[in-house]
Amino acid sequence: MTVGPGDVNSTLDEVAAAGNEAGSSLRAATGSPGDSGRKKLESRSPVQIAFARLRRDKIAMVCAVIVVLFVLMGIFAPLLAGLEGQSPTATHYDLIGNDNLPSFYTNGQHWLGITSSNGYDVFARFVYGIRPSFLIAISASIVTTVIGVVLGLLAGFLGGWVDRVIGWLTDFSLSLPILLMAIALVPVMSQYLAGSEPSQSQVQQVRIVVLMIVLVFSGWAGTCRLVRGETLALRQREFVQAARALGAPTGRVLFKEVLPNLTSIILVSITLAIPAYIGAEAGLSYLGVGLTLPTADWGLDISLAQDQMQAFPLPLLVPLIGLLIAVLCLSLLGDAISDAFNPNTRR
Amino acid sequence: MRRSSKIAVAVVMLAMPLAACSNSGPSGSNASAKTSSTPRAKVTAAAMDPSVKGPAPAVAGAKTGGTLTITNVGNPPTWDPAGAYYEFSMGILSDLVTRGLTGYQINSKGVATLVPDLGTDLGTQSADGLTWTFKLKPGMKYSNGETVKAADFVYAIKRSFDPTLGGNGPVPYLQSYLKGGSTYKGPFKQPKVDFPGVTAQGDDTVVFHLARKWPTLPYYLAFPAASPIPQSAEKRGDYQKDPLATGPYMVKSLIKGSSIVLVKNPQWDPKSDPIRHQYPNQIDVKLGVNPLTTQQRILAGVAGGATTVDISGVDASLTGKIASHPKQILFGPSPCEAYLPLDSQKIPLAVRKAIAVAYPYDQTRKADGENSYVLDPATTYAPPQVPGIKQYPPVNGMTGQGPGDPVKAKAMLKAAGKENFALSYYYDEGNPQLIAQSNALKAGLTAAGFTVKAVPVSDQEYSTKINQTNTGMNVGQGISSWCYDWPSGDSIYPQLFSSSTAKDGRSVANLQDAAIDKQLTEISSLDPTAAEPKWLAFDKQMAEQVMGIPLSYSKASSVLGVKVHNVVDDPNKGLPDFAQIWVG
Repeated sequence: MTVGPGDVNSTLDEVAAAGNEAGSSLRAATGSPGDSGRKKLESRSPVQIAFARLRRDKIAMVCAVIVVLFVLMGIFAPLLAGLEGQSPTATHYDLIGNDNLPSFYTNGQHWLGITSSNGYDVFARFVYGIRPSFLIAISASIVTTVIGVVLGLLAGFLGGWVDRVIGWLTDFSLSLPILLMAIALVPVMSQYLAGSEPSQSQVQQVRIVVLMIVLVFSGWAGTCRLVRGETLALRQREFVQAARALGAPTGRVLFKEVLPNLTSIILVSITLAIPAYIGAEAGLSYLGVGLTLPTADWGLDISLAQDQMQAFPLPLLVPLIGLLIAVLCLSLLGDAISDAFNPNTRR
Repeated sequence: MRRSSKIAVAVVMLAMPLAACSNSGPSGSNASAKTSSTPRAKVTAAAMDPSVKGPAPAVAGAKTGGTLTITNVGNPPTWDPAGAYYEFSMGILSDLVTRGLTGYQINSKGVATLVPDLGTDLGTQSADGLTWTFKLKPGMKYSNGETVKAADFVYAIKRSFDPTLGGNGPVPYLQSYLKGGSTYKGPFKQPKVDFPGVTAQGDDTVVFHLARKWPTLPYYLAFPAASPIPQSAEKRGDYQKDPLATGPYMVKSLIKGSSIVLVKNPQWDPKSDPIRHQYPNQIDVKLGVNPLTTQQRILAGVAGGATTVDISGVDASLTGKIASHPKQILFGPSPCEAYLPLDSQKIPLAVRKAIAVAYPYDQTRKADGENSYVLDPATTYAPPQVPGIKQYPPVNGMTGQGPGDPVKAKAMLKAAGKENFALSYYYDEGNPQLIAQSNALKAGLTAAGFTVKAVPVSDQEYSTKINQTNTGMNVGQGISSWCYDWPSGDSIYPQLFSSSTAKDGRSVANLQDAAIDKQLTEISSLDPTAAEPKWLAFDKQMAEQVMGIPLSYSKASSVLGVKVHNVVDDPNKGLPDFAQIWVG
């Protein structure tokens, strides 16, 4: 997010006008039927302008479609697995030979085959595996953004000791080695939260909560710094000064005057955080501190399948490629959104 | 003894020791599943033979020279002979560096026989069995040229009592059998105490004075802890860096945790040694290696791989190559066996019988990635290479394999009026394979009508919790794996079934029965040969009572370079007999 040296609003207006012109001329050239974009005089917010720009980005649209497909697959996982007639947690030891490998590659009952050792259905685990990844990533990035934005706003707007305390906290959390901390923290916190003799499902729930806490703890500081910097700049702007001069309470100034101008930052930070958290969640599960069996999870399935990757690559490739596509599309989409809001960063 | 330096015997995972040791446990591929691995050695020779004399039987075609490299993923914490109690440190020391009064001769078929080594015979027992006398071969020398004296054996035994040197070694046997052993703390802590357990008469006679009969003492004397050390060479903790050698090789350099270089010992007399050869010029031992890359290097024959033998166990991702390299991967028996501990005080016999019928052997093995490359199904409490152990027809359906019979088990529970009997156990949640294994066990037992409570605990806690008494758990508490110290019942059954181990939470049945204790003591005091049928009968007696379920006999595997020859598995250590290998 670049911040212009002087008047942000005027910059945005210029950019919007330029975008409108470019857009309308493009449409005129290709002879597409007229739409609202042609009516130059209609006033549009910067967010609307950005989305209009985004809609013209082909890569972004393809990625968005794929992401929506993944989300739909996750939502309708029971339906899809039901179509195949398999459950993601059912073992099929009878289909596993004495060498721990499946007796077949794929068949009508198991569309993408089964995993070695336990005989879990690969397709069912693939569609169910979308759920923890997206759920944890989306909720963690929302919580991260809320915390980061609120603290950033307060630090930037209030300044003084509030700024110093929050600044110290962000520095502290940014200086921690996140991966090491997660590996150390997850088992300890799980134990603390789950009590001495938990059941497996309790452990699972606690693990999800702890994973979220770890991801949020590691992620809020970046957003907070970004928002603080932006707020510092906005604080001196005329409309904010005016609102204060009129006696608007701090809360109103923060949330009605400053926050709407941060929409782009917030959107970009959420969209870029989601793929990062999906990767982090899979990574932690792969390392054995995330979700545990029998829950279907991509990172966990990758770690289980890697021993047999030469003899039976499918159980490894399916979650791996799923993870790759999901993270790639979300990252490209995030970049496109970021570009749409800041056309001057475009290549 | 201990399996590897990473994990001690008593603390391996519920029922599954091998996978935990050798990374994630080898597993096979489709192609190799049909090629069955080496059959277990069947003992045909006598377990002891006092008449064997040196030199060791010649190996046909053996060449001398070259450098042999031995690699291992594990890393024993000490290389002091007194503390050597891991299979690997014992193997390296007793095969190559140290000689005891006795030692194991491994023939080309992998049968181990206890033979006199530095002693002239396997000792003489007094009429009451409380005194053992050993005579030394004359003219035996250390690598520094000094003569081996009877007093050196006495001193070595004494120093093995020191907690810092031999604290984790095999010394508990000495503490319980030798006169004064229970209170002795070694020559450093108690310099003024005149230890009565072992004495020297002249320069060539060692006499052991026992508190109770110990017919298997000659087996104990094959431990490196009983090899001679002169008091003048004492350097306490530093002795391991430069130990005096009596065997064919001596330590040139030892970097703890990393490597050992062994070179030929010019003072070794091959004519006196019925066990060892001195083929390679130098032997490099590398510790804590990455098994996968090392084994790939060996199979590819690059970067010294051709003259390397890796004993870490075949890596799981390499099992697809077993079929194409049949001569480079050696399987053999190991002294370890896995059990499912059942608390006989909390679970009635009828329920134990139902558990034995329901136990899902196949599912739990597959879930943990185990297969015939790492284990054989067990039906007896002692591994089959122990002399006298014969495979009697499985009792109570304990066949050691199969998916279990939940329907029959359910009917048995109903007949006993114990439907929904509550079983509970801890499992290690530190590894997805172990979680899958616990899930498989839970599914199998639940299908048979048990109410199962599986409690997840962390890696670190698991090893302590399963050895705690009064935890409320009734399955899996105690030792889930035991590696015998010598091939005789008295190194197996007392550990599994006696009151004393049950009180420590280190038995398989929590059996605290005075009659059983008496039976164990009685058979232990018999001559090993006379005890063999009695141990077999005892094994069957325990199986009839379902005092824990024998699950699997562990298998050892090693990966050899193409230039490594004459590798024979030592069934009592689960390692190749390093003293016979030649390269070229």
